[in-house]
Amino acid sequence: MKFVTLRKAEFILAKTLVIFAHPFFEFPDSNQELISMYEDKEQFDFMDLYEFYPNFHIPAFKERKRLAKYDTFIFHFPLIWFDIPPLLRLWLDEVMDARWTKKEIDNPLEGKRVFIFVTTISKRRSFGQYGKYKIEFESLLTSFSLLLKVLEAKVYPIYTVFDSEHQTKENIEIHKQNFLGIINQT
Amino acid sequence: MTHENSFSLTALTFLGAAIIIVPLVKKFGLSSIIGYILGGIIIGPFCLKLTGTQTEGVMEATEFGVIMLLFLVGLEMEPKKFWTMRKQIFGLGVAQMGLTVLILTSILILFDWERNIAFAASLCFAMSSTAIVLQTLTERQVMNTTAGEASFSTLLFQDIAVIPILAFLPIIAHQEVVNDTESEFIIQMLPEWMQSFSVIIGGGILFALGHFVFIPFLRYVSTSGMSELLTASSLFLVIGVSELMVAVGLSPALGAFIAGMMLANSEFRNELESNIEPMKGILLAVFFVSVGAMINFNIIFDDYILIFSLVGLVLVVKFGVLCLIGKIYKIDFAQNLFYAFTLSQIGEFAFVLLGFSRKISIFNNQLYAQFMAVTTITMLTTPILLIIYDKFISPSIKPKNTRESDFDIQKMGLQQKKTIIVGFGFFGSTVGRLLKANKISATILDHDAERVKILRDYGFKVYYGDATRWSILESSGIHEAEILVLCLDNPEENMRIIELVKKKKLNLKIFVRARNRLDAELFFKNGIDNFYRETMGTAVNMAVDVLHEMGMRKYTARRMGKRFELIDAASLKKMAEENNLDAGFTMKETIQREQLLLSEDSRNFESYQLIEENQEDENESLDDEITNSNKPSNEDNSQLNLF
Repeated sequence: MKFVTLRKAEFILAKTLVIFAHPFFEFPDSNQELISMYEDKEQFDFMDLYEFYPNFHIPAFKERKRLAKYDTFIFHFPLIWFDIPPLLRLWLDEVMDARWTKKEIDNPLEGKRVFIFVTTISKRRSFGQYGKYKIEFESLLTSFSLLLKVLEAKVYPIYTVFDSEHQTKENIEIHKQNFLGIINQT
Repeated sequence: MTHENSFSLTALTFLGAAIIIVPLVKKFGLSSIIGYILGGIIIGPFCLKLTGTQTEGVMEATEFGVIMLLFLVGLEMEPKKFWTMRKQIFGLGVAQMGLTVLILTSILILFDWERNIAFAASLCFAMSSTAIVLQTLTERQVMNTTAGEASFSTLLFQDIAVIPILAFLPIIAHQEVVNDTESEFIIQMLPEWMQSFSVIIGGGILFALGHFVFIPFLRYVSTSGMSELLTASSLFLVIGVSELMVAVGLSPALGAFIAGMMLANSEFRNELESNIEPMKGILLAVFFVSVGAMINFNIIFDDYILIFSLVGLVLVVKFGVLCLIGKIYKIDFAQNLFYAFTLSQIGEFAFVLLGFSRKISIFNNQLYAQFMAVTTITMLTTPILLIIYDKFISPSIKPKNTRESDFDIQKMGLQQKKTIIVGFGFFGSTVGRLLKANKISATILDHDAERVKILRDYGFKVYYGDATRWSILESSGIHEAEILVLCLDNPEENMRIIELVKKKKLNLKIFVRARNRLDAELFFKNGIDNFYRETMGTAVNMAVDVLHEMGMRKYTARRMGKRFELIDAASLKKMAEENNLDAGFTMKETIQREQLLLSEDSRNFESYQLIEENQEDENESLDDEITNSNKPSNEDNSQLNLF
């Protein structure tokens, strides 16, 4: 028990950046309640991309400098047409630098923990070999995970909330606890 | 000494007393009302004997302040809001009047009073003071709280009730009223059955007048562009309406309230308000002073047991009844206490009712004087009770601290923040249209009568008024406003408003239109972060299109334009902060820096095009050159990740 609290304290010292992207945040898909799990300002810095860059102009240098300050990142977004939100795509395109893979260049992502939290209004049963879409859910985010892996980040398994439109308060609470548990224990 | 002379001398004494005492009282943190009344006592027959015989005359004259007060309250109350409050007004009003009269009458009869005297006295004592309460509510800015609205509703009902009470008193007087003044009331000429609907008829007349006479008349006056003419017509309106009401046989205060309500929707609301406000203030001040001066201490000393036990009885009964009503209406505890404390005094309408009762000989002169003293003393208790409330009761029942989370991500949805837009020409109306499309209603001020009329026809709620005058801003609710949008053509006028707001240390967000870079710098230096250069966006758009015409891809050109805007905004703020005297030199430097930053970007872009053309291994050196080139920290982001 003592061991666990020690670890926890250690993580709280190093801040986590939450990169949140939701183009239709007004739409009730339980994200409004979910993001309250980042309430603890000691641990999390919350970056709402659509609030930060409403006109899709991303100052890449500033963003790169920002990345260097954190050792854990959480990408939190809903799926938009089976893919990541367009502004997050643009953000990745503009900020992530292919040269980071080179030895002599500082890589702000190298060895850092990256968690991915996805919500989708699709049901879990729609995915998989026999599902409606006949595709594995994880494969939808292959390119996103790959990009992070190529940049030498430590990418953890994707955490998904299916059927996000119809989550009860209790369920949302469970998801929050589960996910916080994962990021604080691993 | 002529009559007029002594009257104005008396008024002068009253004003003088107010001027000297009120700041003193304010220094002790007390309400100004207490200061006025104290001033009155000091100059009154008991202390300095400065008031002479004109006190009652002055008081009657300054009761006009109460009328103006109700007119202003009416201006704040749109008919729609009044309609939604109708249940509250009648519910609270009937409960308060009914219960108070019932309890007081029974107690007084228990003490062997004659029935009709007990009943008439209770009716008078059930009234609360519109002047004191409304003044208190506005002074504390609690008009919009539950207690504030409940107080207001109750008062309004009492004002309406004065009319039937005046009709009712002669019945219990067991004697025919000597019709002296009443016979000239127009209402008396109507058939009997219609008289009971006098309030509705009077209201209807005022509605029609408001729509078809007052507003076109004010419009006509405002085209002259002279603000003193508008002041004159405001005064004309209020006096006219109250005289009209007296002629019809209704309470002039109620008439003023209805007239105000009529004009609440018109564009002249703020202008009228700011014109009447100071006059109301002066008249009310003198009214309160005269209340103080009227206290006849001889009568109090003669029978102080009777008077003070009556004062105590009235206060306790009224307080208890109000508490009970508040409880039934589920007003929360702190608000309920405030409501009960503020309305526990006897009001100035009691003076009218008492006078009338004496005239129809329900009371003899002795009783009349004693009741007058009781009324005045209860008026004096209100500020004291409120001090007790503030110092001892309010702190102990502070609602439990609802811990405000500083986590603001979840602040979802549009919040209606009270917004004032100043200037509604092409610029301001664009802002207003976009807000309106999103169902944000703002208070809009403009100083062009023609334009106001046109915009009103389009459905915008525009008010006529010169916003560089503080009183206009005040009457448009600057104290409650959270957002102020300044869109006047003239940057100096915008600046003047900013200075006014800063001087009053109001906590609101200011958005200001700036014509050009120089205005923007001025605003920024004055601590305004939200300035909008009207020339900036359009010029950049133009340049973007010109670049496109030269053959630059539209997307690239747009990015350049956006980058330019960011760099420019940053350098503007930097320049304003440095406050460099040699503006010319800095300007030149800035432009050079901007060009460097922007060209840096395109150079990078070119080099990356090179990277792509060459094989990866070959452009190591180029990479180095870019990363090592002592680049300013611009926001270059033009590398291409082709995976």
